[in-house]
Amino acid sequence: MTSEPTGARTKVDIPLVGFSNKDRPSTAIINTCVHCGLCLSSCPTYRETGLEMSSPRGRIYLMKAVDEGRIGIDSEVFQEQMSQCLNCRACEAVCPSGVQYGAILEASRTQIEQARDAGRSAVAPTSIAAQPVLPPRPLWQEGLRRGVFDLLFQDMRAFRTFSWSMRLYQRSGLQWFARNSGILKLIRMDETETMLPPISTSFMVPQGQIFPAIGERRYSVAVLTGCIMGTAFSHVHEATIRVLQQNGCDVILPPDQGCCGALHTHGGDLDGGRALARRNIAAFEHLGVDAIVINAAGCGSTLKEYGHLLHDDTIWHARAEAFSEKIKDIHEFLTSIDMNQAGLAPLPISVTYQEPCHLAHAQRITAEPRQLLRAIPELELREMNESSLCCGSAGVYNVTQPEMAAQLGARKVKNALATGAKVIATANPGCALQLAGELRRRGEEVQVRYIVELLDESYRRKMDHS
Amino acid sequence: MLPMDHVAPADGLVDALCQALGSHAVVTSVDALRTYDADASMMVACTPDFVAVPATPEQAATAVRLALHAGYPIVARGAGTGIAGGAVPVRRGLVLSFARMEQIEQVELRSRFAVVQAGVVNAELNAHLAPLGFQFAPDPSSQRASTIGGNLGTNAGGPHCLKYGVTTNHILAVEIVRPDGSLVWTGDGVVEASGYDLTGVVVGSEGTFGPVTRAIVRLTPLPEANRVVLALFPSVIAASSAVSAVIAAGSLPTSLEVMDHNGIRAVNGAYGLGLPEAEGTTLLIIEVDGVEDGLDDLLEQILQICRDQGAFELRPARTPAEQARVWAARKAFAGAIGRLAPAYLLVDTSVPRTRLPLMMEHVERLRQEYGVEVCNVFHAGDGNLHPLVLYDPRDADQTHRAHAIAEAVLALSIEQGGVISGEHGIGLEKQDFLPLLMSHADLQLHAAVFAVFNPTNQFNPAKIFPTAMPPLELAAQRRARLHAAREPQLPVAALADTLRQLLGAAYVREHDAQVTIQPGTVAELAASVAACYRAGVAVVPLGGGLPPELDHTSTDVQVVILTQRLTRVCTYAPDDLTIGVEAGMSLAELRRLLAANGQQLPLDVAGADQATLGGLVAAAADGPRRAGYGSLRDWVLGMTVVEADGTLVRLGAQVVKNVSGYDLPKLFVGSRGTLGIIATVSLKVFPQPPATATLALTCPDRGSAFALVDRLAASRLQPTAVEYVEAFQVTAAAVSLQVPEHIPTIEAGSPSSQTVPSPLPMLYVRAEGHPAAVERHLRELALMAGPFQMVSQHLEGEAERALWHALIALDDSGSDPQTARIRLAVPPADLCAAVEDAGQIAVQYRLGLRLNARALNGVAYLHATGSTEDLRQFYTMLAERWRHVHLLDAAPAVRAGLHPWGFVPAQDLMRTLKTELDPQGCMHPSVRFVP
Repeated sequence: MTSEPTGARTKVDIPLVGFSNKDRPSTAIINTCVHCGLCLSSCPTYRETGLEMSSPRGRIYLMKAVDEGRIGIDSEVFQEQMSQCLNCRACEAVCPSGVQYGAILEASRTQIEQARDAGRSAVAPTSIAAQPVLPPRPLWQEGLRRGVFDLLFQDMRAFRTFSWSMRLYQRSGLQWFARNSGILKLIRMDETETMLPPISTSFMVPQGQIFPAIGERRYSVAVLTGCIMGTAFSHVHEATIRVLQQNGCDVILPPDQGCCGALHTHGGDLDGGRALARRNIAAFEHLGVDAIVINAAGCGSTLKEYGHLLHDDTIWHARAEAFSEKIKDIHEFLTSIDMNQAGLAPLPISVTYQEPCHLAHAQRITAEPRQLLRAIPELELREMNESSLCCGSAGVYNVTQPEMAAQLGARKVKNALATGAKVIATANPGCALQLAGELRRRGEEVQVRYIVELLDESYRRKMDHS
Repeated sequence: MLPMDHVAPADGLVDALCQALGSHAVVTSVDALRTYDADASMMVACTPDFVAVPATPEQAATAVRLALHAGYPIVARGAGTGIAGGAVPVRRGLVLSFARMEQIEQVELRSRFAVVQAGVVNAELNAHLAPLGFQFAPDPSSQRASTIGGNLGTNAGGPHCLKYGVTTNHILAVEIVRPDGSLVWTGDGVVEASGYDLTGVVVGSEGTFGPVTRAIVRLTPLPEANRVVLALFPSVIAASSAVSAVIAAGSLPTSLEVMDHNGIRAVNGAYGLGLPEAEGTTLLIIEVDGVEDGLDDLLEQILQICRDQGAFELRPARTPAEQARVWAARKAFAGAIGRLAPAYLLVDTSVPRTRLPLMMEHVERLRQEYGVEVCNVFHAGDGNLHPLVLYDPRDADQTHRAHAIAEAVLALSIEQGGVISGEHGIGLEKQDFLPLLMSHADLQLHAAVFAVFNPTNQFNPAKIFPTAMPPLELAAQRRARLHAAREPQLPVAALADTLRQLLGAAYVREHDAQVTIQPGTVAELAASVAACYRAGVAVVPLGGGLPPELDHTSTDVQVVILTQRLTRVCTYAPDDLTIGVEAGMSLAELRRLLAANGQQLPLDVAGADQATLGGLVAAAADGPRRAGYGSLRDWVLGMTVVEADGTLVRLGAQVVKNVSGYDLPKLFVGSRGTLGIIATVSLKVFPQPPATATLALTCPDRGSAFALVDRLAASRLQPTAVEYVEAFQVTAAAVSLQVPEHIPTIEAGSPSSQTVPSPLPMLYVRAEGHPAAVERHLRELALMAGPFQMVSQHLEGEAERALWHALIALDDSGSDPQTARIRLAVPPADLCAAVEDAGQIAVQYRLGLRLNARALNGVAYLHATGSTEDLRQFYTMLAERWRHVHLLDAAPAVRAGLHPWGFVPAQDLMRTLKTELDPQGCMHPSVRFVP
């Protein structure tokens, strides 16, 4: 009731580089935060650093400061914090006021990227009323960003070609050379390189294939094959399809689908994400399936939020909402139907579950994956500490924040190993790569498996034995 | 762009900090520093000059030393979830964040304590303890994020504090940083340390007594079972009346939480509670816990009261998941306000419980009068209100009206005998309201204690004290007052006459250099002390007995003040479960008063007819039932005290939750009259249990007795007393065991007990509560005792009363010059070894030894009998081998030259405190805690 504003805000002398109107972080959402701080203990970067500005509350406070013109978008602290956030959204899941943190974070990142894009064409970084301008990215970053966002992930043919070349790199001995010559360290790609997934021999290319239900047909579902899941993790798709078939589903892989756009929306390229969203909506909306099933947590959460992503788009908004309605995470789907329990054979292994952020926090799916693991006879589920604290993968985070990513990866694997389980189960490519990379670094034998892979193995054992 | 008054710290300082803590742990960037200018109160203060995030207590101490040396003030910050502005800087300087100090360093289950760093998150400590069957009981709504350091800084409460007490009841010792950068522990975790209760006064000091780096916290066993019911009432007033009725009926649930329709609206959807949201609808969350037996019946009794008071629906939350959801919703409430309004004022006041319905009527009237929405979600069982005034800060008029409501609620609470903060603290928010509650002299005493801990005003400056009354100025005023009060000087020879004029000749007696007076009123007491002060004469307050420290041989004049005529009841509304009485009231008289209303003070001491409440509090007396009810430290809510110069001050209040200023009553519990004379005391009281029974166990040997205590301590049983009795006697250089005749012995029924030399060590375990719960305790205990070949006897009614009467009489050694009474306190896990050791030393010095011990608490009372020299040797040796050895009572020849107090922690602080409060050294000068 009394405040002593001795350190009151100074009035603004120099015009600050603020937010522009396009994709501006919502002031209403920012103001929903009452600064209670209950999010702090759930935030991975706060847990690692102990710094207020590295907490969700601190980051919202920084956004608010830019929104209200107290600091500029050019603030190094602001930019660093928008980048350091993992967008794991653990804070959202615990926020009593329901602050939609992901939405304002993604918008803030987009603001920074838009200003950097503007910086490419501007003569000097200055403030122009309607168009905030930041210094352009270094050339290598610019090239990488354009290559990845505009080329690789917008066109799945290009992505598959790229994946083939990576496979070649792994098989030709080039990887051996690169890892042992020290060249990776030289170009600061050594951390990132360990994350490179072993690329599957066959890719899952969606061409309208239909895999018929085994037994009585109860549902028809479509599967989004995505980008990295379709190449590096095509064996997970195969497992997913078999598990769905075992549960009376006709499974369709419609053509013309692409990447879900998660990397774009999380990385401050909302327009890139929107282009992908429109393509996917068009590819799926006429199918008339019971559900569109997703086996990657990050994709699932992005697909479920197409409505929000396209909320300003008068033509696409309603279609996006209808599309998102149909999206079901595989664990969510399997536990919502009368699952085929009889077909599961015993798997006598110890498993610990690492919760993907975009499953646990963004989609609030926490009980279902455990329910599925417990459904497998003789499988022993050993809970780890901090199972829902981000593993540090978070899309391109390994590239943008290698140090924090490594710290969190080590913390996660330490917690997982402490359970003594022989398998770490998860449900997202980023997590799977991060965990496998960290385990490899430590020379640990523990396996990383998707939950659907374990289900598939259990069904297949039964088939083999009968 | 820099905040106007930002001064970048000197490079040298930053370099030194980075060197000590690592550069990642030092924040100097201005935009980053801005995020430290607010806590959950959103009372924007100012940006700090720099922030340090130490990882160890030593790093914290280094940061403090460097910053203080360079002249910067320091604000300690936990998670910044406080809502009174306690953890934000107003004078810039260093913010010392404890976010990285999150180690749980040690957990001792048998001794029931844990050593934790200040940054440990409350919920994470509990997550760590739960699989072990224990909890850290305080559960503030912020517990998901808030730290132990922050919890203890504000003496945080929480929904379950109704049964378990607030943070101060669960903190055994703290480590604080002193202005010179040294780390000092206020204790070692053993509760019976001698000297002033510094721990008690640091808890709730909101960081103004220096940053707390580590704490020893008490562990409480998790209950075996619980029940949660949601009761719906048509109005908040009806729900409040039900709360009062439940308390009045003598059942003390674990929680009684009220949430009105606005509160329901805020959390209903997000937590899937599915509650009706109609205007007026009010939710009362009721929780009871304990052993399974009798719990449903207890709950049903409470629910019947709710029905009688108009509850229209009762919904049990059956599964742990449902219960967790209810509590998550309740605790998320303040944070969920973002769903209802852009801003709120969360008013936190506390009133005697019976005034709650009236306060709710006032709040409702204010809401209509000012036309601002108010939400009520509060700890009803404790009388702790939280009207939440919703407003839009962009609307100046509405903001003004919201503040007017908040201020009116504060004033009304004080009017009803309440206080201005029950659990959030004063911080920045309420500092200017403190004078409404306290006299200038009260504030001066607060400031004097402040000056002891914070002599340069660099620890969290400009908090708690009213903005116009800087604490160091207040402390200086008090010193000047004490100096001036010596005038006009009174010749010592004229003192007795002056006292006779004040009190009447019948109440003043002189023999040799000693004058004994008996004031009849508190005012007379104060005037007498003032007269003594002017005469420069020492005063010795006396309750029922003679303090052993009283120096009869002194030739200096001293005035002994007998308080026995101060026997009035000050305030007793039985349904509040509190009582305020004058210090001279005997314990027996208090018991009679309480018993007439079905209530009790669970303190059992010998000589209750003579023992006065003031004396018992000043001596921090304890009884066997502390295992279940706690001790006087936990029950003293407030007191009035006569200071050295005769000034009467009021400390605390007669409400069960209070963080309005420092918890100064704690300093006086166990202070032995050395800081001031207790004139009146307000206590928490308890309903008499519906049933009580005791199991007396004759144990074959000490080892099996303590093995049983270990098992009992690890179980989910909640006995109210576990008393161990043993006697040693020298027989041909070996120790044999003997129970003195006046201990009720048990007929040896089993053949096995006849083969061991009888009498044997005895264990007496008492259970109180619902008859079924009591029955269960005794049944299970008998089962546990089975393997140990113990003979058990079940005692109830008159037999039980007689047993405890006899047991308590053991404490009364009379005035045998051959006997010394010694208190030996240890961590409970060490009690068996300590008893063993004491026995062997007794044998060595050819002493008879009898002891009775609070087996769960680790406190043993030893009665040693022998020659003066042997007793002296015994005490000296025991004190060398064990830390907390206190010579309670012995002949002057035994005492001569011995330091009777055992280990006294933080001696510099103790000494400074005594000097600051009693600069002339005239309050009971023969008691010297610090050797």
